[in-house]
Amino acid sequence: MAMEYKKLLADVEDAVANCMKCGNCQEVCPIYKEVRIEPAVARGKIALMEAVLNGGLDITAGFDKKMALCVSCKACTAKCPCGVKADELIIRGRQAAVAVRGLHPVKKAVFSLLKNRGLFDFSLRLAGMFGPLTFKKLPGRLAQISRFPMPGLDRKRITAPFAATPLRGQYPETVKAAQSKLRVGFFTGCTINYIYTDIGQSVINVLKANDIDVVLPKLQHCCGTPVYVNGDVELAKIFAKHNIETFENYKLDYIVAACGSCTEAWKTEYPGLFLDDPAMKQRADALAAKTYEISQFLVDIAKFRRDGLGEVKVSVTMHDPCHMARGIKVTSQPRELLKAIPGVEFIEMKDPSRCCGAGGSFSLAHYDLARQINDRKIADIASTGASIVATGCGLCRMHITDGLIQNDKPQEVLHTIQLLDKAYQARNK
Amino acid sequence: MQTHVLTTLQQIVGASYVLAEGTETVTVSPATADEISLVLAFANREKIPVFTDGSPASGILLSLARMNSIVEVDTANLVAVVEPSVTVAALNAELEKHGLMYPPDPGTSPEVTLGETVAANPEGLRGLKYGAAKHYIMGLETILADGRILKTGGKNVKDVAGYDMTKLFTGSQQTLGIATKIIVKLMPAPETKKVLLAFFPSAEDAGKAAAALIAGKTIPAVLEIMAGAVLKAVQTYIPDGLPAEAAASLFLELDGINAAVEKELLKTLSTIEAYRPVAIRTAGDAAGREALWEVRRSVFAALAGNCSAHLIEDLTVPRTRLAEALKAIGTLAGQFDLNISILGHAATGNLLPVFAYDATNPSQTDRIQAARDALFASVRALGGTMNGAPERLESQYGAAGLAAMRAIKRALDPNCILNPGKVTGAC
Repeated sequence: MAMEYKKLLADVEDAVANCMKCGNCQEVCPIYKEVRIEPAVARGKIALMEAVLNGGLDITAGFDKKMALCVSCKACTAKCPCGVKADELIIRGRQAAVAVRGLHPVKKAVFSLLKNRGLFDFSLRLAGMFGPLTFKKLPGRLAQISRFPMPGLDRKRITAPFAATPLRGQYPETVKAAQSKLRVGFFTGCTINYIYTDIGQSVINVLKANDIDVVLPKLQHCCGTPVYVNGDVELAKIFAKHNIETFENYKLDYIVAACGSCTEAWKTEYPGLFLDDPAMKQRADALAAKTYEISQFLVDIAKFRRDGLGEVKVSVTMHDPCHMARGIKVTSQPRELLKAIPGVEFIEMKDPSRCCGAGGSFSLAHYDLARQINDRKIADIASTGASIVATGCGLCRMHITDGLIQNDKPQEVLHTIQLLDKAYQARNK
Repeated sequence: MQTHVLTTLQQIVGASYVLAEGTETVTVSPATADEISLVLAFANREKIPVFTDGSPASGILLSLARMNSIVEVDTANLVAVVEPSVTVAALNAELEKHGLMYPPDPGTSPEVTLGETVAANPEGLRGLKYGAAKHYIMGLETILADGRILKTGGKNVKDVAGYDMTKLFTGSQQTLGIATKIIVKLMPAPETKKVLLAFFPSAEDAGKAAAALIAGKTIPAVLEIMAGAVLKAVQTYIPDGLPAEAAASLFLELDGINAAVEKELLKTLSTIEAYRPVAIRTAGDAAGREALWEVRRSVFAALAGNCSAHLIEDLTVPRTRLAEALKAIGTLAGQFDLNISILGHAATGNLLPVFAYDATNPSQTDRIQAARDALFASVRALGGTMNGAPERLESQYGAAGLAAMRAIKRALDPNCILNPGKVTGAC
């Protein structure tokens, strides 16, 4: 066991050594900004990994806890003058911690449920049916608060309800457009399939309005990012392989996702997971090359129809999800969609790509910290005076909605594609 | 680290702010002056050395990172009160809302804090026109080595009773006390700014042009020089076509009232023309200025991109001798076969030669040491000074000067616990 984690870290020894400890990551790290202690920031975590490599430190509970203090927002990596990919190194540190100490019991339970696609799907359908018993719906926005204390969920935290019928259950496997020009596979991701089905419906509507057939492969599963960033790389590989095999079974011109993290999984993570398996890597590369985030696909590839857009009179600001802005580097395309909609007044907020604090499962384990980070985002949103926050990630939508309600702000959070859908609908009226 | 030390420190600042992961150094992050006072009183009793930066082998590493509030911006008295870990950038962002600024710009990193400027007293980028940090620090709250809290100076412009203790602590590298509250003087923000980036065929030409500008009574807010290997590094880092034939550059910012800035720009251009510039770029609007500033700000990042080891010297010569100093550095690079970049605040004659080297190659490190000794001799011959190393203090100030400094150190820190070894070397 000891040898195994040493090897995990030894692989990245050179990358770790490239960190010259300048501390420029302190300027951009959202967690460091709140807690102001070194283990919070990339430099501190890299120093800890170095200490393990040099034999000065064991992988302890403290090491584990410090590696967990990261929202994987990639701001440090984008800032680093030496090009150190700190976010990936931190995931490697978590991987080493998992190898030595095993997964946290709660994560282990969740991941083993996630591993069984059928059971996972069944559980979330049940949650959609019986959710109203345990959660109280809040008026207006898609939001709910727990009626009872629940393990792993902060008592005051506002989440979104599971859908009574998941997205993929609402449609046939292939949704045909009136005149079909292209055929794309829609990788829905869990958040859109089980929670924000309204985003998925808008993706399908918009693609249809652009004469594109939409295929929703039934057996698709979680993209794997949640397990990957928590250091369970072996499970991430199983998910990647499953999704690749599933989508290979369909004849598709492109694959689209409406979530930065899911898109990044297909484009970057999957090919990176199979470096030691050339045949699998080739298959991952082939699909990665035709995978796009929805706004990127509409602007760069499909050249979306601008003639059919009706007026949507709202003021909108935009939050760029971390994995959109720094993961797949897609920020201009969603703005281009909004700017094409007649009636939309677009107001840029301060630091639109600063992390909202959700950080996937980070906000489950560190809700108070995630709230503090989010409160800054809410202040930036409020100072624009816009009535809608457009974004490109379901989890950002949920966490920002929570923040808006906690801070008594009236804004509504939507996926950018929902506004484009509204514009096409407005024209049809 | 001994258990009773850890326990005591945890009692003072809370367990999550004491870190001692497998080392003899314990990092403590207090949140208030009172907590620092307790930490220092304890360290003084136990005779544990306290460091404020670096990676000490053992002792307490005191992080002030949690003390980062802007306590007050007094727009009527043009004064701000800040905690030590407020960054210069954050203070200026806040002051911009009030049409004010804190002029000293250390220019190295956006993370430079006011506390660090008190410790090191940089004159930085705007030194010529606006002066160094010490000209803006009006008062301090300082925790002495034994934990007592000392207040010096204040908001009053005239404040002359007793010794000027604020000046004593400013630039003392936190060897005499730890500043926990800083009162700084503010200035109105200028109405207009213009930026100019000129490239020259040699470092000497750039040095002569800089000296001529100042002799010609142009006072730019910023006048920076960049020469040697760093230009290539920047060209790689920002590939927007810095002219390939350039061996040196001058970076200027002019600021003030619109009409004055326009006039100064014309004068500057005509002065520079005499020194064979290969290209000149100017910018007046915010976006254009930002693009040129990016070239200057990227230098450390660009150098770091090579990621071999770097050693930075810090020397100052009279501005009239700038070209000679630049020539001397160029000669040393050839003589000792070293890769030397030169950055510098030409406005104040302050040059930062950066030696890039391979830390695993002992012959290189030996040659760097020899080159630094030779450089110190040349700088002294030009009437200049070299900062930093305690062993140079005596040759600069004489035995009496060094003895006086050590007497002050011993009076305020009898157990020599605060950043031992810095400034005066031995106590």
